Amino acid sequence: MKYNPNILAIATAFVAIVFFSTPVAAKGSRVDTLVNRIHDGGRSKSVMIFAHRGNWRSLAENSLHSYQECIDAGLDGIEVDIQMSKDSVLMVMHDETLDRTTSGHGKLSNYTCAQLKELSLLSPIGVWTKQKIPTFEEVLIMCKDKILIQVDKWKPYAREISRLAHKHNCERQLIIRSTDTHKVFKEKYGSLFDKFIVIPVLVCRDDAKDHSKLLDFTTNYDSPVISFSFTRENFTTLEKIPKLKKQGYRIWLNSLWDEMNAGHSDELALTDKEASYGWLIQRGADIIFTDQPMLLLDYLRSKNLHD
Amino acid sequence: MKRFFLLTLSLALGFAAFAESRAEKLRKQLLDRNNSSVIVASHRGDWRNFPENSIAALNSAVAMGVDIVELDLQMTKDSVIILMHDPTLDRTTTGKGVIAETNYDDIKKLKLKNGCAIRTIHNVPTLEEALIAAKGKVLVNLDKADRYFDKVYAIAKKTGTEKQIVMKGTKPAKDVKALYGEYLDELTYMPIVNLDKKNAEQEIDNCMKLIKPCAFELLFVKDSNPLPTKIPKILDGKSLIWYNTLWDTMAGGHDDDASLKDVNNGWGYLVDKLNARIIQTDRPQMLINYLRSRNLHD
Repeated sequence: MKYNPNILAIATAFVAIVFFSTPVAAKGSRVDTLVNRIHDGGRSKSVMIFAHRGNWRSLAENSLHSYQECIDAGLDGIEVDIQMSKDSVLMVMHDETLDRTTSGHGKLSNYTCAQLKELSLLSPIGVWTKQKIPTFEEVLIMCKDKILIQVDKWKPYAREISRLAHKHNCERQLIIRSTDTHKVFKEKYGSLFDKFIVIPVLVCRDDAKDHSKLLDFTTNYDSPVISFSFTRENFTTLEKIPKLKKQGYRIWLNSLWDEMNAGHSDELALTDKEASYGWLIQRGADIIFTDQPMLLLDYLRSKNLHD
Repeated sequence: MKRFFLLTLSLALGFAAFAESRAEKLRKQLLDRNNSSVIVASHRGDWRNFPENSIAALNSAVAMGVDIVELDLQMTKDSVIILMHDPTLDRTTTGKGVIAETNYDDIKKLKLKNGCAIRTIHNVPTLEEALIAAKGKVLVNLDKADRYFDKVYAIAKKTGTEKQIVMKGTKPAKDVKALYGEYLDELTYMPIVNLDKKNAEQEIDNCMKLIKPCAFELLFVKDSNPLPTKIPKILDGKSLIWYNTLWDTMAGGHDDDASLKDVNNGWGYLVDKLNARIIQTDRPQMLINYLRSRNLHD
């Protein structure tokens, strides 16, 4: 979406009047706050935290328990990965096979949901836990009105994801990310995700092509956020970030691992938070997707960049 | 003035030479059966922030204030002892295959993966590298080290860390005495006794007579077993008690997860009711914070 600065100012004023004068908004759910925040173009001077696979350093990845910890800690978003059982139930698990993260073996899609529910999730060092593989629906019910949810590995299951989100009336808190041009995205998915937050992702590769893709993103996608991933610091599209922020976008960067952020990763943050999180924020990040949500939360609070 | 300077310098050097390292202090605490604080053992190092069994995980545990770092050993095809839990490379490294069928040079090229299976910048350490990193700083519990005892002992000697090594095992007391008797002044050996087994009390008695260990690791599945509350009286002043809180069947369900919900039913129960003075945990930072709040850890 391309903003006209005047319209933007008027719209902002209007939104502000509506929100600050309506008692219902003041008493709104956590998700009301977070949806407003992700649409505010960074004007609230906060940096939002999305936790990759939940708080997996504490509890089994993609478990309800690990997502609950994210809610309790006051994070802004979680990420869930989608797989489908033999009887077509959407399950939340990263790998296609059960071996790494559960007590079972083989392909998840060879088992029914009831069979999968008999398995135990493993801790990050492979020890049995009391947690079970959650269904996507269980995550939606638990997180409803509490935290934003980025859905990953969604492409093969777009229709079912859209249906369940509609069933639970929680589309506004769901995020999918896409590297497709807007035309391709619409051809593939039509209106399935019209009520979701669809964030275009620029994986920087080639300056000339990247610039035209970014232009497509800002012209045709109706998104409050643009996401970048980059293996080195000197892609020229990254220089567009300050301008995008002036246009009213939030910028989503990933601290997960070094290929996404030219080395300014969570791993670096353990020894030098300024060189990692500090650098990402200085380059314009106001949403950070992380494997160290609690470390990042402490850092942001110390800078008054998170509630 | 110059003489004063030299005097000060020699005093300072003298103190430095005689100053007790943290590892020596911890060893003394074990040998004295010091009951006034609780020793924290960290399972596979600080694996929540760094790859399990990595040098970085060891260093992070030391920085946290952990007293004993537990590490796992495997041996490569060309007989190099490395740190790794599984006998295969698949789960924790970017490689694949059986360690015993792979040469160290090939393992050296691999990277360790983190707890959600993403490649990190960390390499697979050798035991020698780990002991050099641990030297003077922390005690090191080497799991299943008896499989390569002679090699482990030689590496410990070479790095001057033999007094920091803690070994545990389930072998009968007389076998331990026969196998390791001559080393027991240097290495620390702790018998593991499963209190759910019939001869548990007899085995404890045998160990106390034959090897007088500074500590016993005890295991039991359920609180209905009367021994966990009885043993502390027998061992009082003679041996410390080690419990593992990694998962629920190791110490009657009073594990890390129980501590997360209600610490009094987890670590608190083991310390206060069962006289635990060494606890091996997967949540070392949380356990140290808890013990510090009760003045049970420095």
